[in-house]
Amino acid sequence: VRIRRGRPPRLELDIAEAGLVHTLATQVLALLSDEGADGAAAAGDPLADIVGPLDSGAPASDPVVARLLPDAYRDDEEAAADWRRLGRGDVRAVKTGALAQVLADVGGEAPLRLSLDDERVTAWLAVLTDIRLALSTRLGIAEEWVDELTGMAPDDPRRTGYEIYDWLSMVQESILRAVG
Amino acid sequence: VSSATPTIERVNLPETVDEVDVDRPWVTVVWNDPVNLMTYVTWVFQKLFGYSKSKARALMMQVHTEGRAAVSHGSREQMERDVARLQAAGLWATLQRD
Repeated sequence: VRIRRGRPPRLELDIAEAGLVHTLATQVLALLSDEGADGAAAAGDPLADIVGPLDSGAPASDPVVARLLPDAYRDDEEAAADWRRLGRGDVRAVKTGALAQVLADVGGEAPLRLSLDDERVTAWLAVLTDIRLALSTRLGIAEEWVDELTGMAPDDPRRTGYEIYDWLSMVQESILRAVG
Repeated sequence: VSSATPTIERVNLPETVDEVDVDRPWVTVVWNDPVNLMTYVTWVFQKLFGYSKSKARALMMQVHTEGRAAVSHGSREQMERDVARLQAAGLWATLQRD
């Protein structure tokens, strides 16, 4: 990975790096698409054809989805349920839109040379965040993860996941440095 | 069927008693999590709210050290919009009465 400063900055990924981002973004997109939005669509609601599938309003059953689409109210279950039916879909739509943008960017079979305009910066930073949130939830990554990775045995099964997380964090920091 | 001059009686509409949430102060709260980068949280606050870098940094530090910070104030509707934008960016945001 290389981020070239400039206006706009440029992001360069080799084929393996672009492929990794593609794989992870595809998985997060699948998780977000599977859950919650299936109620009306499954019932063949004609409204769903116009406004998109309605949110079933059920609490997320997958911890990753629960972290990506958290309840907007902490101490008011009724308001939280209303939010899940009426507000959560907007958040999901922005996230899936950003994931689609990044997937289109990394979909080629060649090294990536990407000009990061404002829209792309927003999408890439959000998608890198969502992938890291998903990984951290699955792997149980906590605040002291750097120390954990440093002290990890070479054959520790968690090592690959932590290293990918580390790499994604570095890419995100680099983009932020380039635009900040 | 009579065709007497119709009278239009005065009818009082029932008083609307809105529990006027719109004017009561609500806050958007961002919670600390171990994943979001300090630089990113600062960038999001600047980008979404137009805060100066120093104000955005101060709010980020408050999230980091105190576990949470109120990042915007306004009507319930506005705060739901802010929560949606923050969550879309990957931050853990909720709203509550001030």
